[in-house]
Amino acid sequence: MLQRVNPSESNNSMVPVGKADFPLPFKQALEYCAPVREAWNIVHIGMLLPEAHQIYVCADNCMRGVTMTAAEMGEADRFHCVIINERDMLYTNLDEITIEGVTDVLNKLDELPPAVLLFTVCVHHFLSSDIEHIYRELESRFPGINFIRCWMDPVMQKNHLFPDVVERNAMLDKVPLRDVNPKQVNVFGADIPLDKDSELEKMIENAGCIVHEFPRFETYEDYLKIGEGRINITTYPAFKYGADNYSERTGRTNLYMPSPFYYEEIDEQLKTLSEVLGVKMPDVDELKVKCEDRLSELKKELGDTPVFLDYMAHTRPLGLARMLLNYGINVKRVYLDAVMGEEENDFKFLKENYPNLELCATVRPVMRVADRKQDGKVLAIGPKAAFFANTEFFVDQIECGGLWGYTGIIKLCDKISEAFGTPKDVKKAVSIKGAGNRCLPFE
Amino acid sequence: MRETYKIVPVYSGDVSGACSALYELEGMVVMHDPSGCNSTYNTFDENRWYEKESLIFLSGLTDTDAIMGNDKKLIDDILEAAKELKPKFVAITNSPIPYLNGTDFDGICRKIENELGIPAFYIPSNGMHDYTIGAGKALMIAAKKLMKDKAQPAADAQEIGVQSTGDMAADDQPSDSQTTRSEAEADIIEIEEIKVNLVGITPLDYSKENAVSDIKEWLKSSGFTFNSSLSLDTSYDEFVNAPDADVNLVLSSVGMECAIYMNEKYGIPYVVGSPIGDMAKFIAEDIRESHENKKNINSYKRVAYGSGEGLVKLIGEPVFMGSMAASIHILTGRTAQVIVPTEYKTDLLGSGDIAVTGEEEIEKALNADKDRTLEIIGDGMYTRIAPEGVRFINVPHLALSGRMYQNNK
Repeated sequence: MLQRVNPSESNNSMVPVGKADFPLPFKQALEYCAPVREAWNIVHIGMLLPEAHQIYVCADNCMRGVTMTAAEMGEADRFHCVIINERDMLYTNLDEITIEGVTDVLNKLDELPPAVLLFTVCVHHFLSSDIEHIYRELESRFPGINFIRCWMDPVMQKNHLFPDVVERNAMLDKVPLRDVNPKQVNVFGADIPLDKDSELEKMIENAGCIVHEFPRFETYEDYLKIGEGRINITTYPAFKYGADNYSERTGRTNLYMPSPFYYEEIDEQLKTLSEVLGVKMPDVDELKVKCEDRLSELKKELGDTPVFLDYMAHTRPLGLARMLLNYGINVKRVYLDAVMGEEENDFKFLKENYPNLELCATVRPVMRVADRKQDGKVLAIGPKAAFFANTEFFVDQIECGGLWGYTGIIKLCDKISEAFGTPKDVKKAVSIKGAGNRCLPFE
Repeated sequence: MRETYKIVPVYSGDVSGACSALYELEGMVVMHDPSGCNSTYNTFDENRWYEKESLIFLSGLTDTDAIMGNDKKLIDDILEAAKELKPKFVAITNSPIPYLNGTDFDGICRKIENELGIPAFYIPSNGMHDYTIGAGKALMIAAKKLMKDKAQPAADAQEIGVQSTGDMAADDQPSDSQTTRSEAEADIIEIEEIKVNLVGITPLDYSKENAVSDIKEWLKSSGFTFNSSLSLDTSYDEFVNAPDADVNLVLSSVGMECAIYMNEKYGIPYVVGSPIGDMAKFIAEDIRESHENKKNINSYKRVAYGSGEGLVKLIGEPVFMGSMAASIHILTGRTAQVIVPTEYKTDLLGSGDIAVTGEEEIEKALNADKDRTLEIIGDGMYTRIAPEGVRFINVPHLALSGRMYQNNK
């Protein structure tokens, strides 16, 4: 029988924020993977590019996860692979296997796709593959295909960029520049569509423009139309690297407007947008009052119920904790493994004002055998918090849920209220891979 | 090209196989692989992950640690976790980058073993093979490292003529009497306690919740005593005591290497086959024969399912599908042909069966003799390349379709 061990300071898996280090509160060592599947992976993200196909060139074990992701999405016909083995790596030319494998796959298709997201992998780095040669050759063999240069190279992610950041960058890198459409604003946001009631969308509408974002694309032409965007707004941190590069390439205005909880930060972002779009600011004083009323009401509803939240629900988990704590809501614990740079102020604020708030790792080994039983009712915000707190009262949200700004705060309060009163099946919810996508095994 | 897959997924990899085989043995298994690589295994290849805890972790390998050969980090991280969680053993699997680097896993394991005072062993793997290879090696090496000694030493076993694969090849050839063996013959049950291990049973091939209990029930009703499951619905103690068995029943190709090892080390003979349908009675008979004569037997190959009327094709893991082929032949007299896309198949193909590699060969094999093919039995993912107009019976195989056809509702 395995022994139960709970996260604690002594096993470096839980630490009060008052004693926590920034940006890594926990030692990076062996990693556990909780059975929470809702995060999007590189396959899900790539499928946001309509009509494009994905081809991966890697070993069996690495291929398995991506091929099954596509199968579960019902998108197997847009997913292909080239398997590499010892012979390919040690005795033959990996570049040639890559080129010939991709060629073979494409020649087998009834119709060539307009774009291919080609994923080379860790071994291409380690064997010093000539990536330029690979793409030059493929582009000459298939001149009608837009080859998008992606990587599935998790060995690089701790010291360099995450594969999804590289993928988002690659997707924008191959957008051809077109004449500006003055009525189009590109939003490089989360994988979930921006909430149409958000101040962000409303201001864009008021400027006579439309929001153009990946989750709303239906055709490959929609993707190409990115090149017509008047300005670019980035709301999702994982898109920032690609959006910055794209904006530099195109010379078009780029605004970074992540989804904060701190009123001054929201106001500052809205002010910048109003200047760029040439439209009026929304009545932020009224919005603030609405937010404060809703948060106060939420406090009454929740009482002293302990609240656990996680980094999956929102890209600013510490900002969310700070806001809820400021309204008297009993946030006990935040599940995260690292603190994002843009949360440093929230981290410092919490350290000073709420030093007993617990930060708890999700990947530290003891989390595998941690006791998930709770005394009494617990509310969770986010799927990992729901799993670890073992509560059926949870907000099932990832990547900010498309919410933004003051309206986002009010809508999040509504979601929390609903979650507090309506139990859900945790196992079923967290088992769905890439929340918001089709996941055939659970239909 | 054999390497390309247009629409069919690949099978679970060797690392997943190793983790699956060791899952319930109360050890700690570490995949030496970058962050993120473990979710593949525990999402698609492991249906116990949510409900049943197991100490399976990832090392979180980085490019700098790989390039600089920082094995100390791996060792220190394992020691830290093991001291906290107190596993019964430590096993390490490999992945493409440490494989390329030639990491000295045996040396790493020796160091860990010395520090912790518990067995530590390496499962040779590199992410470039399928689950049958990884799980098979994991079971065999765990057997070597963990199983207790038996009263009858290996030398005695050699004296009474027990041998490994070489002997089995001679004992599984269909003969006239074997191909026509009747139910009456199979019904003979002697009253003698024969202890049987189930070898090579993991959810990757046997994903139904009651798989082990059903086979245990069948063993009991056939007059046998269950000894150990290697290694589903089991425990460390059960695994360690496996040498107490009289016969190993090899339920999948995953169990072959372990059964061969136990045959050589402990003199335990093995029978290969899964008690599916009408094969169950014959397997029971073969277990008795194996026990009496200390002979290794492949039960399904004794049934000459490669000749008969009509043609039924089966595709998948050779022991399970071979047993099903034999069962169908016994019941209907039809020709059955097993198409084997999984990797471990030494001595496991019956006459007329074919080994294939890659989607192109699989498609060709499924579509050959289309006019004569009455039906195809296999995982539903193969419907995408199966011939149109031929009935396809979906027998979900977790190692291929993952969660697609499991009961997730």
